[in-house]
Amino acid sequence: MNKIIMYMLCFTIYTIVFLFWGKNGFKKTNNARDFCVAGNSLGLFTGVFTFTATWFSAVSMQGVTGSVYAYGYSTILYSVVGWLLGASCLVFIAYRIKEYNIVTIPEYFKIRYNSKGYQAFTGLIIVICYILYIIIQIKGFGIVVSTLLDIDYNIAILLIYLFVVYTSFGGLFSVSKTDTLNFILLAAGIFLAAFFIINDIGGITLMHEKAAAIMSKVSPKYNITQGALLDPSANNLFSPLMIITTGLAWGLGTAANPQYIIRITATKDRKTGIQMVCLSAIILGILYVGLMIIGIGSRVLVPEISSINSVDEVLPYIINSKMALNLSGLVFISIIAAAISTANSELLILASSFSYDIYINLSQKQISDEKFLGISRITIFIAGTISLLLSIKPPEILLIYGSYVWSVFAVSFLFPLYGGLYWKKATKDGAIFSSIGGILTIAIFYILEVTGAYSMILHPVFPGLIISCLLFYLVSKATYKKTGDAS
Amino acid sequence: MKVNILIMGLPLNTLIIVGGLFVLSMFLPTIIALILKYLEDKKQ
Repeated sequence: MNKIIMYMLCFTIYTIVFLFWGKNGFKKTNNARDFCVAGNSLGLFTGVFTFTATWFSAVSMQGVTGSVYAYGYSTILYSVVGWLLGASCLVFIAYRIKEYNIVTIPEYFKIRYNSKGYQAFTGLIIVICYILYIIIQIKGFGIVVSTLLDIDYNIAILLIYLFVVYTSFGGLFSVSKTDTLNFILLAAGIFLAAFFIINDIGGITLMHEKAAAIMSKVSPKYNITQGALLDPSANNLFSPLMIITTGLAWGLGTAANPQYIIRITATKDRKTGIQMVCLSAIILGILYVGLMIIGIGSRVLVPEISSINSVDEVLPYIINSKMALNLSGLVFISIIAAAISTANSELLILASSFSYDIYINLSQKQISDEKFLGISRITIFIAGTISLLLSIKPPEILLIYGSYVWSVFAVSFLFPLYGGLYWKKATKDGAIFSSIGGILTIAIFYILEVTGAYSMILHPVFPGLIISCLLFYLVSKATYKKTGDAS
Repeated sequence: MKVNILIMGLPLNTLIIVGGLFVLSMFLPTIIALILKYLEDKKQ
């Protein structure tokens, strides 16, 4: 059978199953709590599936695999290790956040700091950051579908838009249901691909021995020296400072990321939330081992790919050129599943934040459940369309671009969130100064880097976090003494 | 002469730095949850 027909067939079957699987969510969603946190009803397994599928995005599937292919195991230090360390911090959130009975993360800020303005401000950060981050998922999906179905990139990205908008309309019930399907598909795709590659090379030891000898360029853009694939710093290609601070950006961005925290609040009780985070981290670790094998093994099988423009295109190329017909169809669907399962979660949180934390909060009036759902769905449509339009000219490397977006969450949410839960002297002013100071610091470093006034030796999140932490502590201390306004 | 110890074809320093940190980060949420539970039980 022709490969394109095979991909088309897999894609059609996936679409039919996906539509059927996700439709029940619409019936269950009647109000804001149903829409945003699935009525706080998630059990352990549904929670683990939705947490893991949301986590596992195009950045993981294509970004990590492609970067491991290009730079080797050093990639794991500044991405995966950082993410999983961030998940460790989420355990602290899981211990306390359920006490607040919230629908959105900005609502927590409102309750804790007694400020509707801060709720709206943090809601706005969520809206902007997720519009920018969804571009990653759209680009990841677009690259795969356009490469494998041999269609134009712009038509390909329109397809994910339809999938994502469809599931997000049904709220977290719908998203978590389709996440279960997507998790099964992506896990199956990763393990089968890893098994195929190991089998083709002749074992893990042989794979490493062959990888150690590689010193070729992936393409004219990406060059490494011999042995770099197996070296923790890719033979000094990345400085330890850069590896640590980029890992910090990802890790603390994960620790303060609303898409994971909202899943903790959506679980049925505190114990389930804690277990969900712990079990998900272990499952994710196992999945990343599969991606490492795919990345290094692909480099051994195909040491150079002259036709790619970025490392994110490596996986689609390998699927199309090296894998057996039946297997390539499943791996193709697993990449699509990864992109959709993350994008719909982000679009849902974005819409919840706009309608709940900005519109209802600032308009100061009660609205019916029907109107809330209507506004949320219109927001999904508009925000999804903005992300789609921005994806026409996407960023070059998903893994680096994503770390910038995540770093905004790290510097603006981290200290107000954790400080609010664990430090009684944290105040509204401290939280506001911390968020604004952190964002401004990142913006200044970013502008300096773009204008060439500063060469990036460490990730901007590092100075951003220092400023954010200092402002949170000092301003809270000063204002707590003065007003004692901590709740 | 520098001798590289290899385990499954992977240099030992890579296995310790990348592999060690990776495994630690994977199980750290569980370790933290157990510590917090222990502290909570002790308090009660």
